[in-house]
Amino acid sequence: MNKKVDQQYIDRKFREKLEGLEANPPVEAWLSISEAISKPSRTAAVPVFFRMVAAVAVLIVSLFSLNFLFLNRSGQNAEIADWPVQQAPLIDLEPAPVTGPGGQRVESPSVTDNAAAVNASQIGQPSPAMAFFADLNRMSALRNAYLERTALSFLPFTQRGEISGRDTFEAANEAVSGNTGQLMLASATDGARGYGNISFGAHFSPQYNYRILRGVSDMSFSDIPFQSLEEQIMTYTVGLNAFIELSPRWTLQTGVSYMNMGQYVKDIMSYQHPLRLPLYNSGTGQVSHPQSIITSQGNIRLADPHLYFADNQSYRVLTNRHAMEGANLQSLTESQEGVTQVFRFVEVPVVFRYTLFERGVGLRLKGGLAASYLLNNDVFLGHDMMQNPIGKTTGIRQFNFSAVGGFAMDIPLTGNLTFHLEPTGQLFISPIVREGVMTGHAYPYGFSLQTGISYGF
Amino acid sequence: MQSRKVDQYRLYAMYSRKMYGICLRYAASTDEAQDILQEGFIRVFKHLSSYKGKGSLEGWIRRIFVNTAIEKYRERIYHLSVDEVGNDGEFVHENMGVEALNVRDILTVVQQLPVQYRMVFNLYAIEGYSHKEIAEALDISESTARSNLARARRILKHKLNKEFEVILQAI
Repeated sequence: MNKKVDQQYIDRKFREKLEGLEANPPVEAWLSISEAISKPSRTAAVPVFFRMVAAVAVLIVSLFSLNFLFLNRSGQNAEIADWPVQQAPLIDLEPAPVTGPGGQRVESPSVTDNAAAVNASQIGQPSPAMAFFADLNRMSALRNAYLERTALSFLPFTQRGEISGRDTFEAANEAVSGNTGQLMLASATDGARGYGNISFGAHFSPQYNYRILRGVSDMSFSDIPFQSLEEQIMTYTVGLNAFIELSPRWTLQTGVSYMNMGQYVKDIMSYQHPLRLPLYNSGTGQVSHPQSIITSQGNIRLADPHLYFADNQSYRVLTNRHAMEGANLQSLTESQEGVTQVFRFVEVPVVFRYTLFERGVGLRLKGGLAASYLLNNDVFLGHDMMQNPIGKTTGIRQFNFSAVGGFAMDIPLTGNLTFHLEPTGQLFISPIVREGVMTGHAYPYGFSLQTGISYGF
Repeated sequence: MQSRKVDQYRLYAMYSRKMYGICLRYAASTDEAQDILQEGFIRVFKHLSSYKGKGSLEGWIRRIFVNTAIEKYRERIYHLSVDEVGNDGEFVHENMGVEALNVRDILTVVQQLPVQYRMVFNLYAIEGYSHKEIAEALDISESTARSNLARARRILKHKLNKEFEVILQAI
């Protein structure tokens, strides 16, 4: 009888204690479940798209590089010496009357031609800094592009830079198509070079970062007021650029950049021991650190055993059962407020620039796409963004895509150097957090002022 | 698609703490508990449309988790030696002080039971299964179920040692 009572007593006591047992599951549990119930096809498509964008970018760069090396350099240089162009007195160049490609002789511009230039400037043509004459009767067999490049090649760099590729191209095009035999005048004061040219440069961009929150329903993001608990931060981007002129008005810009983005998560208090002793018993937990912080841009997995975190405003700090058992917060010193999430990407942009006007200083409109690969997702204490990371943000997509747009102001310096000043906006078109981690989507965006220098070849 | 995911997340947020508690009782470690939790919620989401509102949703979900734990046990049992399945001699633990006996420690004691004893004890003492139901669920005989339960109790009692009576009074 006593044994029976004893058994029931054990059963009852264990039942009372364990029947209603509740415990916080690990933060990554939902992520695992969500991934398991999601279809895998979407994840497979991203790398393929990235590879396609990268392949197109490499192809374009390769084609223009080849074009530049073999047509604009070696082949052209051999023929430049044979070209029969003589500059008008307005241009301070020595005459060089020789035969053109194929051995044909091209006559030097006559005195009449020079007079025509003078007359042209007198009858209201744009007063040119220079004028370039060529007898196009003998050029009719030449391709327009070849004509334009070759003609420009006669001029020294500094002068060539002042000849409008567009105007020369249009003039030559008209002459060749009409084959009228008229003497053509190509003059300009613009600062563009002919198309097919390539420039390389570097840029530095201070950048203002934040994100757009877009819920998938009315319920999304409603439990935690992220908008009031997270703030924008300033970061920077550095990179190398290549500019390839596709046409007189269109330029392709690509390259590689090291981009920093992120946000500041406020109203998170951190505590530490006055002697900076570890706050957790490493023997009890199966995880290195028992705390996480929910943010709109993923969950932060904290990893510094010297810090304990508490949320001042809502329930963003998750603490599992291994957290600082028996610790007395009163004995700890309050540390900095808030944490900063930083996302570092390597980025390959493919941006098209359209020339709006060019009067010494060029103003261009630009737009395109950028593919970025996540390099680092460290989290820092306070407003620090460089030293002593305290954890990482989990659930961030490895590949991301963004739309890029803005204006570009190109200011010629000396020789072939150009200074670029480009107010630029960038918006992620793919949510930065993997599907299923959050109930809504966060799309980071940034406004930057790209400043850089390029050298044109 | 997205709204369904939101609903799933809300359901998860609502019941994950309770279900994880169940998982911890049936598992020997947090990793194992997390496996049961994941498998259980996948089944819940998969079969949610079959819930007709008969009985409480929590009870329905709870049954799925208990069944998941049983199936996990059945999967594991083929890979375990007899000693691991149930052998009093394998169970070694230091005495516990009165001050340390809280829910966490009780859970730890249960988690350290040999796997079959743990299953039987959970199903009988906490879920309220009969020996016949336990025998069918675990594919063992009723007498084995009774024997396992008795041994589980003996281990638990031994575990709590001489201070058991005092400790239980203090709970």
